Amino acid sequence: MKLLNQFRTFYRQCIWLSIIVVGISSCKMEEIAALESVKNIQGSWQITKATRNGTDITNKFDFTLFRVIFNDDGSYQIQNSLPFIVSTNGSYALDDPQYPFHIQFTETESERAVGSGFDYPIVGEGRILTLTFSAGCSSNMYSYMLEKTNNP
Amino acid sequence: MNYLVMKRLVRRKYQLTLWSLFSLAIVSCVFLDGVEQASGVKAGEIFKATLRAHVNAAQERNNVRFVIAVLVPRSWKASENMQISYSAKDFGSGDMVPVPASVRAPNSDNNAVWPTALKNKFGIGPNLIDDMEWVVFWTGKQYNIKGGDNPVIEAQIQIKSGMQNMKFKFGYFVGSSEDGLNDFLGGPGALYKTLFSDCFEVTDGEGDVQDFCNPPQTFFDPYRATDNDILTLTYDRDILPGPLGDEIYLCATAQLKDGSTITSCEPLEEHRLTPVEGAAGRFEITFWPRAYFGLSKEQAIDQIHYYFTDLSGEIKIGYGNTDEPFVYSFQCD
Repeated sequence: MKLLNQFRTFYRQCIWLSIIVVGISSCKMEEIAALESVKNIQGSWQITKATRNGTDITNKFDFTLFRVIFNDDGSYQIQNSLPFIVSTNGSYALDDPQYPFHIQFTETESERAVGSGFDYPIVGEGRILTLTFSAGCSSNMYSYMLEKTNNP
Repeated sequence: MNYLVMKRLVRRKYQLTLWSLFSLAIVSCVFLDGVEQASGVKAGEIFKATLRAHVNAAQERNNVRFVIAVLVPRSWKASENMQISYSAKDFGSGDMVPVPASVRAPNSDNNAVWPTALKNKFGIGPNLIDDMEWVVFWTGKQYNIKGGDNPVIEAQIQIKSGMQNMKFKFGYFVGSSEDGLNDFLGGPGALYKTLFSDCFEVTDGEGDVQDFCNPPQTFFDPYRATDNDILTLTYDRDILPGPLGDEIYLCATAQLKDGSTITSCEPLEEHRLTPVEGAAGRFEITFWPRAYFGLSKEQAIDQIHYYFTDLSGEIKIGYGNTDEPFVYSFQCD
């Protein structure tokens, strides 16, 4: 009987030791390279939602024809202008290629550089681009939500 | 009523009561007990108000700041011209300081910064013209609150008033840096409170009275703008009933900064006002002045003089239903 108890104790100790060994080995740190992708905004974008000082004005004004086209050479074009960060064509730059929070537009004609808040979340199957800026008085804030479009 | 239905109802009532008691027991409710303020101020003088609030703390809160926000006309520039001091027996006293612009209001929609979060949730209260802002301060010190604490806060608010003659209604908000706009614990509004004043008047100042309290015949949103803003012009036909029906067009003349004028008065579809949903008798049109008047890059608008017409153009309504045009001046500050 005593021998049986000793065997049981030894058996339990073996099981606990195995669990600890397996546990320690499974806790081994492995470095996984998870590089954030470079944000690529090239393409033609159209406005799908617009707010003015927090009020949705999407259906009050015709935003449908406006396009901003970002090219891979760092240039952009505006089509069917409306109150926006810039009104003529030029170049653009993000403050960080992987984690951008700001976009800067520089008009070719005037060399005027204007910045905007930049948000680029994944929504549904693609990304949306949200730009926040003032077009007239600095106290009036506009936020345009844009989606890539295949219709130029 | 049969026995089973009655039993179910009693059980439901019992559950609701228990839930209510539970909600009350676990949260720290905030109360805005009142605000003492004058009914008016002379332009440029100091406006003073005393706000009283208290908290029934049922839960521990560490490193919490008490938040007070005031809804005021933008032209007052209250973020630069407001001082708030406070005292709370057994807790302390001191000055409140502006909440840093980057701080977001907990539990707000889209995790917005405090002024935006309050504007999104409470708008401009009962005011009718959106040229107001929430200016948000919090205690300079942080406090640890224990369950059972009942701090009573008295705050002295001072704001240098603006120079514009105007009428508006103040808004006041009290809450905490920890709970923000939490509507879950204790039910909506348990952890913060708002209060709006009666109509307040600024006198002996500059210009015509800007009246945010009473409905105007027409108004622009935004109230302050340039010709490169998107404007919404609202016309309330029922303020002064006149001969116009539901088919209303904008007839406007831009007074340019170079002294010339451009008139756009055709009854085109893009000049037509549409009924405002849920507001009988109100019509609106949203437009971009630069495109509406076809401005060149060098041109800029100083004022818009405008009327409302019917399709034929024979009926033409001006200021107070007279032949005088309504006038809107572009300005930012």
